[in-house]
Amino acid sequence: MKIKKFILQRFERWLSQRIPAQKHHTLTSKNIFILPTRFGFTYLLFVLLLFLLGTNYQNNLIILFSFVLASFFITVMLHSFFNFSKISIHSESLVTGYCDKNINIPFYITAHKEHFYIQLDFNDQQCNSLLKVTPATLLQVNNGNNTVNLSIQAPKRGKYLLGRLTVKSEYSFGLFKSWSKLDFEHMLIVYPSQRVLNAIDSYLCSTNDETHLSGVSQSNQLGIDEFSELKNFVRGESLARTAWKQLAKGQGHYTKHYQSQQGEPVWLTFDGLPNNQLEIKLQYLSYLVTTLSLTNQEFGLLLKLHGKKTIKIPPSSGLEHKANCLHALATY
Amino acid sequence: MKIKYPLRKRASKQTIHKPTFCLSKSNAWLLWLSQVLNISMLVFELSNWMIAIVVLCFCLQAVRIHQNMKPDHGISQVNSITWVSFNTISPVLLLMFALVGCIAIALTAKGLGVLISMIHLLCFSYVLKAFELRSRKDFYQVTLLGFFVLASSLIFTQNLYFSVFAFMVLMLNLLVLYQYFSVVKTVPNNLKTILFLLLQSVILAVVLFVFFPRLSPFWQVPLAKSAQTGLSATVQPGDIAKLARSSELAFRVEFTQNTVPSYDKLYWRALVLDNYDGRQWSKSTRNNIWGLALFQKELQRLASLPTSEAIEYRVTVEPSFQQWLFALPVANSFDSSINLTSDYTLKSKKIISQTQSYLVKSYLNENKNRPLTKSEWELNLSYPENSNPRLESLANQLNSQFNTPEEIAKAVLRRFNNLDYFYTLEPPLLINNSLDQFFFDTKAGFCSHYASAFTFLMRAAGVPSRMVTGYMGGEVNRLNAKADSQGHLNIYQYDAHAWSEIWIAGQGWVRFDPTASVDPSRVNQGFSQRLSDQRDYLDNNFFSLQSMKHFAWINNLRLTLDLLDYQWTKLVIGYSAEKQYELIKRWFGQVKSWQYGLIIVGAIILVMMVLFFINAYSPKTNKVQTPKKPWGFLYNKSLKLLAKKGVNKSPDCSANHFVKQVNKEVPAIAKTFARFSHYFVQLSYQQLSKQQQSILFTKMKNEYRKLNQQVNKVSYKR
Repeated sequence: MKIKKFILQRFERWLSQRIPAQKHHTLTSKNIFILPTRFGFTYLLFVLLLFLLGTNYQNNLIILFSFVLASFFITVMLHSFFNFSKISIHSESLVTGYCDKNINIPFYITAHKEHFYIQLDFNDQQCNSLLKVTPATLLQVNNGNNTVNLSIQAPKRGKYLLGRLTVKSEYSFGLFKSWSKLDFEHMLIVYPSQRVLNAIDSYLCSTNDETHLSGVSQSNQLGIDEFSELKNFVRGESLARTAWKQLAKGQGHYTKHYQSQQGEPVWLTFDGLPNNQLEIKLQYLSYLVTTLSLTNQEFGLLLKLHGKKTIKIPPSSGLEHKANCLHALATY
Repeated sequence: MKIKYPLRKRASKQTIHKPTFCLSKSNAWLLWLSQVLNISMLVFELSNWMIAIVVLCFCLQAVRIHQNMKPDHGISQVNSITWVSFNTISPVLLLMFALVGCIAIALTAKGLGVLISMIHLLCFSYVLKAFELRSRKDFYQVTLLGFFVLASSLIFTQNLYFSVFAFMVLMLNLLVLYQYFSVVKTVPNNLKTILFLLLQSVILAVVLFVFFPRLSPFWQVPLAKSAQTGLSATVQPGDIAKLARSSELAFRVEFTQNTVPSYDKLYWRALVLDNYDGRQWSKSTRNNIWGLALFQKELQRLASLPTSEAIEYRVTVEPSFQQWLFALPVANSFDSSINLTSDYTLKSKKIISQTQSYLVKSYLNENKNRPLTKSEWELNLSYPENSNPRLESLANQLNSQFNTPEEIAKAVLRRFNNLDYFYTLEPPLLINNSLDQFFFDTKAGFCSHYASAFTFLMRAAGVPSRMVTGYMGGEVNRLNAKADSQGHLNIYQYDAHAWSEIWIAGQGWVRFDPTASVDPSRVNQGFSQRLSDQRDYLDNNFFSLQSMKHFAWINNLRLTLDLLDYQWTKLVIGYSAEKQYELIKRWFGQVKSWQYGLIIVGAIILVMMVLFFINAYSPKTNKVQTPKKPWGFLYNKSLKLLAKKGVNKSPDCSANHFVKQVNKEVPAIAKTFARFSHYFVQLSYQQLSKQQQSILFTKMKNEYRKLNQQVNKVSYKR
């Protein structure tokens, strides 16, 4: 076992030198491995058997037949290799998603000719024994740009390193397996799954004061939309929001924009959530963060628990903020 | 892009219990077809009960494929493909069936011989294997077994047509495998790829075939025990007529550097039959040591003769599963696989189970005058007393009339010629093979009748005589006639012939052919028109090109195919270690073994490099260009129109920007062009129904017409 581990480590090290981490990989002879499959070896054995048969019967045709099959083996090797090479794969390293949901990792594949039967998979045992990866088989990669999603399910929230992506193909006859292990430095951040809270408003708290955070409802502040600004009319916007006064005055076509007015930003905390388990609380928060972001509300996140580091994210809104908050929830 | 998610499929399996392995519908049928064809290559070797089992299995398999089609197999992405997944058959049932089959094969093994039994077993397992396609491993096994079945069919038949057919079946086998990995491509496309790959492999295979050392057999293998064809070891008067109905090839002869001897000299001796038991002629089994010793002396004399006396030729025999070979008298051969027998015939050391060729030197002008031993003398005079009393009395009469054996023989031949003897392929049946009845009553027969009667008469008259069987004549194919070769001769089964030899002191054994007196054309140019008509009528081969000889072009085609087949036999099937040695000596001179190894490695590397470049730069990048829509053409047309007026659209300029540019440069047409461009943008970038598209496109065309007129006006103004 020690030797095996040692060899694996050496291989890992060698691999990281050979195929360093990148966002963009192109399959070339430098990073493609090609070896006969088990079927390939059996095939060779059969060819040898045929050669023996031909020799023993002094039958030139059977010998020729075995030679044709043997040469075919070599031709297929070349064919497999060229089917596999010159594919460019691009993927962003950060992948996020919710727990127990399919998380799609997009791969952008660029090809200059048609390729067949390419399989993508994460099967690095060390990194992701917990993850449930659905390998994707591309029956055909078209000339041009292709997108393929690899879906992953994670049973627990947290941060995962996906390890190397295995790209492989047994095209064209299953005799050879060409494969490559590409490192995109994929990092998977799994947010807690969303647990639905029915009356959202009652769990929002707007006090900045950390000392008396309570479940006091601030609902009177919510849902009241106030006019904020006029913007140029963009095709597709509802005519109901057209600023008719301005249009009638001939000042141009504008639309009115509203924003929910919040006296003080909302703070999301553990307190007042209906369950005592940390995981479930995190799931509620995950739901809250997602829902509030949908309506573009401002909120802050305060995670505080005995024996754990306190995380405080000041109130804000927008996608980046949402990602930050969920990230915090995932890694708490 | 089409994506298959095997895991999702596996997930569904847990609930519905579907086998994981599935083939596309077309592939399942292709697999079935390839199996049928593989087995059909061996159909002549299989016994009837086996064929029945195989056919039954194939029918079941076809039903299974038909029933197991699953249009929706959880692979929603690939809608156009129907998948077939095989329900597993109860393994117990399968095992029982397999056991019964094996027992049946084992029971019949004695009668069939080892090789044929093995073939039966192979075919049986190949057919049964298709019933348990549970995983990809099983699929691979079926494929490999298929290769083996296909290859083993080449043990039995090696001619060109069969080989070409085998190559095509191989292609089909590979197609099945390939189709599994590229389901999305159509079958003809896949076939094209396979042909491309196979042709590449053939290059390397040919190099290997030419250079790879021919090895001698590693161990003894059971030989095919097929039905014997051609001449048989015993001859009854009616026998050869049956053979004359077959238009199969018996052997081919290529004369080197000599002209082909005239037709009436082409007596290909095969068997000397000197034992007559009153019903049939056979070869005496007596050991003849003295005869052999005398014959050795004779051979030394032949070897000492100048080579200009001899003609040299190469005979290529088709498998007859017998031992005798064919040569013109007086023949000598230095081939190690041939025995020369004391009666001047050639005999192969092994049964001829595959096409084989040998070199012979023949001294046509020499006599076969090895002295007879006493026992031979007696044997060649013996006949059962009172077997044919009327012939015996005729012989006595002749004996008293004439003095020399030659005169007696000529008298008999005269009799055949003058009296109304009839040469026919359908001789009337004789009671107990009575020669009397033939000679005096029916008077109709084939060559063996005449030769039998003649030999009997001569023996009864006290002249040592014997029956000889072989072939007579042959058809010359001059298509490959070159300076050093006169083309080759084809000798078919219907050329089988029987004649006699009588001993004349001083001349040795002299050939007398009674057929020549009855039907002279038979020994001058082959079958007469009447006989060939009769033969065609009796021939089992309905569509043989032989029967259509009188159409010139068909005959030409037949001869060309024959030439191809001959070259195939000579160059590929007959490629032996000696020929390899000669070839390499001719190309590279005398080489040492390490040099030879270098040559092999060099050639292989060279070919592999060629293959690499073929693959690397193959123009297979079929660019899938999205077909340009008609409005694209129209827009381009308008751009050309404007370009003539000096308004050029740069490639990075969008359609809407270009409208502004036109507005600035040629305001006169700006409005029309703006509308035109607007329609174009709508057609190109909006999702519209077919109807909407056609409406917009007509509008766009109208605008284009206006634009065209306006642009022309602009030019007038300028």
